[in-house]
Amino acid sequence: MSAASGALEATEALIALVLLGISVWAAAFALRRSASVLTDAGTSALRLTLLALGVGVALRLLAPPLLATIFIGYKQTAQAATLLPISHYGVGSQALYHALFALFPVDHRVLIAANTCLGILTMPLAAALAARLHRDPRAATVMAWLVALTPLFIRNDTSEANNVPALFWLFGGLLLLEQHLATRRPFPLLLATPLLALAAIARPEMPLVVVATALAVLVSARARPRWPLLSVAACLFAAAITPHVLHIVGAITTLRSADSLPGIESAELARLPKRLLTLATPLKLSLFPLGVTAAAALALVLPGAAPRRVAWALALAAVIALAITALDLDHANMARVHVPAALLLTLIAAGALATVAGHIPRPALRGLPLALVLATALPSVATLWAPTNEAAEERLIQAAEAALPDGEFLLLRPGSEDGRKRPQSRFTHYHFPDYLFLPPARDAMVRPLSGFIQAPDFFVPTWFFRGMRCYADFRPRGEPPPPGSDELPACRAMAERFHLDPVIEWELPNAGDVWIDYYGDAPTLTVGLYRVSPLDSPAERP
Amino acid sequence: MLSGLKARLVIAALGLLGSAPALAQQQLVIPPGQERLLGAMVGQGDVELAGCRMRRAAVQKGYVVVEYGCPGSDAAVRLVLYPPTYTGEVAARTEKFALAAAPGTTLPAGLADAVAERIKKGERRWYWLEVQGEIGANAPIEPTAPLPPEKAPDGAELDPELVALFERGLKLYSEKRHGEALALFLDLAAKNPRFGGTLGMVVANLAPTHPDAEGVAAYTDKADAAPDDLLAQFVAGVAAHYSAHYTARTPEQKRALYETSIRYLERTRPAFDFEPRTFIYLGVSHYRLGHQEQAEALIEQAVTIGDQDPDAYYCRAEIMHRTNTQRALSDLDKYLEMTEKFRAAGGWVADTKVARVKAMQAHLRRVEAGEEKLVDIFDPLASDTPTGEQALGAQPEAAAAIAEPPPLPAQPLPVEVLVRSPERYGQLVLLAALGFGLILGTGAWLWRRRGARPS
Repeated sequence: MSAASGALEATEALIALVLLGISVWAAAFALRRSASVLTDAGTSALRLTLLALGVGVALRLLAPPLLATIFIGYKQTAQAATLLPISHYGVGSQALYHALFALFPVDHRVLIAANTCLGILTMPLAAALAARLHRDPRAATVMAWLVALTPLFIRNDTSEANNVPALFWLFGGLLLLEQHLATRRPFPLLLATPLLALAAIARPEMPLVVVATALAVLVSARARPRWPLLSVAACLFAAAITPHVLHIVGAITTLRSADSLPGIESAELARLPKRLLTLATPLKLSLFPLGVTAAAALALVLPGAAPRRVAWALALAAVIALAITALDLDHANMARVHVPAALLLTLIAAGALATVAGHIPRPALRGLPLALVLATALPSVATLWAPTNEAAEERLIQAAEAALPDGEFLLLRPGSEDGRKRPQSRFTHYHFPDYLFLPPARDAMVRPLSGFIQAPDFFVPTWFFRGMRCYADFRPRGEPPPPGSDELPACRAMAERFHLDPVIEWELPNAGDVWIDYYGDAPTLTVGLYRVSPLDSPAERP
Repeated sequence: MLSGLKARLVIAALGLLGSAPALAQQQLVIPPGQERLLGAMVGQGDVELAGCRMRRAAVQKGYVVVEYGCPGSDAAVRLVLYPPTYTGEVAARTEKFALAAAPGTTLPAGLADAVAERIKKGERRWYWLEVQGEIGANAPIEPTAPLPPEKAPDGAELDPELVALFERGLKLYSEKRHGEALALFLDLAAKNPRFGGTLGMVVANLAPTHPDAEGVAAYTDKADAAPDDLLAQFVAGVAAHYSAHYTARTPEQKRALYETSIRYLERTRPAFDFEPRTFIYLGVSHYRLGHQEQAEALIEQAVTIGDQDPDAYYCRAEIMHRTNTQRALSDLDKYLEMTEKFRAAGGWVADTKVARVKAMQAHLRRVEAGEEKLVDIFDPLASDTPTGEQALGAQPEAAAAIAEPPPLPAQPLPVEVLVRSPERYGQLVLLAALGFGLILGTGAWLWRRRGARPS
């Protein structure tokens, strides 16, 4: 990090700090606004909405917390612990997690818990926004049910995905912006601006998504906007996000120079529409209820209480969100990075479904379109919660954490240094939650395997974590899996050169390549935690 | 008196930690950071124990020898403090120590008991470190209890005068009075260059003076005037090295200074080969001149003899980071591990440097992952680090391989240090929230007051 980039990143961190402080109040006012909007819908609608929100809360609390990324959540947590250098994603969500680490230990489960809370709080905001944008209180109820029950959103909210805080801030900001447009009072705009700025600096694509969605809200305005006020807010917003934009431009330049962002090159840009069709999550029944996508499409032509330009503007924002992320999209992360676009489509769909329900004369049947749409969500449950080797490793990490005794120790686990030397192997992620074992959490040193194998040193009790990474090696999609377990040579060497005394040893079914192509075709894989001792000396039992 | 030996003790204890052989058993050793406690327990200062007063002490890896002067006895009385697992003959025991007379010593009546009583008052905070020792180490440590020589092989660091000098120097150093501290440590080194940590402190106080060309000339003149004064050669070499770091403005100047550094440091060899810094500066100077092969050989020597010096690993990472990124990463790991151990032992660690090393690691890892291109990360000579191709290039172009101007050390900004701490950051977020709440509250109050005022 040069002095210039250091100053830029410090500026970003300070801006995020101020915005986070303001967001505490802004979010509270946004939630108050959502309560007010939902209450205005009438008692029966409110009951249904509250029921939906209650179900949504219950599902989020009951759903198993899972990493949304392929081990990158560990790296993200480590980055959030120090905040600087700022990751190429941006500072917004990381700053929130960093501040939380003042209260809680550095742990990816803290990120997941924070996201779960924010995901829950996003639901009423989204429901209220739907009611206001579609000028139909029933849209709030529909939106609440859709958000509460869509598996993709539940899965995302119970993960470490850094778009969860961004969406909370986005929907809070949009709701307050809408309140400003409706009431012409400056106060909601004063609160909306920092929330939207915070959302914009949370991820690389968010500045465009925020601007596009804010424009969609502006399009929905019933009264003539107060342009001078809006101009001032826009200037403040632009000033707040400028360092983030510079940061992203820098990150893109770096990634391009390393050929790590091929999607942005002109040849690939020409193929973007095709990529969008094949990789867009809202078009995948296995990930997202296609009924929602179809209802969103219907909203573009169906006359409702709100002008159709609102649906079109939101659709444009959704397409922008899809298209930007498609520049650097892989099968492994499409379920996560397309959540903002999917949520915007859901917002559009809520209007259409509310309109359709309004045309059904029998009250008992008015929920039918919503139920049909939600039925299309069922196939995604199996995909989103399919057993994965990555989740198995997370369970093993937690078991190892509990099994390792107090005191000083050395934990050996596969690291990038231990990876194979094939060209594509560099894409294998070896991120590990070292922070769970390093001081101040524990009194351990965490090391990759190769260095230890070359110069074994048993000066403290030494343990070997044989996780799923011992069997992982990235290969391009479509390439057949290697035969057997394809164990990493460094892991094999550990077993060959040292005495490994199992403390935990699980023989797990190989879940294979669910999200990413990493694993061989062995039916089972052996993972565990082992006490390491020299081959020629009796193993010391813990 | 004992506190002056801190650096040495740290190195001694860490040395044991790092030097476990393949066949090993558990052994209790003295970890660093307990010097003051030990001093208090054995009667350092104006304390009389059974009529005896402590004169000096020697801390070995697994035991302590304390020498007392007792009335009516010209011979020194030596007491050995072993771990409680010691099974030989003892004069007294406490919970954490076994006290025995050193061979040839007859303990005056009551001394062992008086020392034991004193130890019992303070030993609650004492701890032994369990490490893997040599085969047989579980047997009583050196059952014959050979005393450390009265003067340690590397130069009698227990000489009270030198210890006092060292302590005064440390105080000056901590007060950032580097000029005075340098003069004092030079004085100490002139008396005994092997006095533990002295040359390191010479370097630590010389570097912040940022010697310019004139300063270097003064040092080299002094060295040339006294070719047999190896300390003067060492200082001239180090000064030239740091001058190249900090003050040289052109590639030619830098090149000349690195060559000067090498010339003078070479003169100190082999006499100063015990000092890892000799090899560190030689290695890094060669590296920055593009002599990769010599640099690698020298830094390996530095690591071999200074395997408990984190900077040796740091510098090896610099020298290797273009040719062997994985090794460099591993060395940076080692650097961090050692500094953390040192911190845990109560030593002072520069957080800024630790943060910088972590940032370097992160960058190198991203480079390894193909996410970034390698940029110059090793300050203070960032942009003048010759690239591999340049380093191997023809000598005539070598001057061009050194870019200008030399950047000053890229210390993290104070705000960066502040932001990195979750606690501080969280507090500031809270402060921002409270501040904004205050503004909101005041605004709301003024608004209502205005509304309540009759028009």
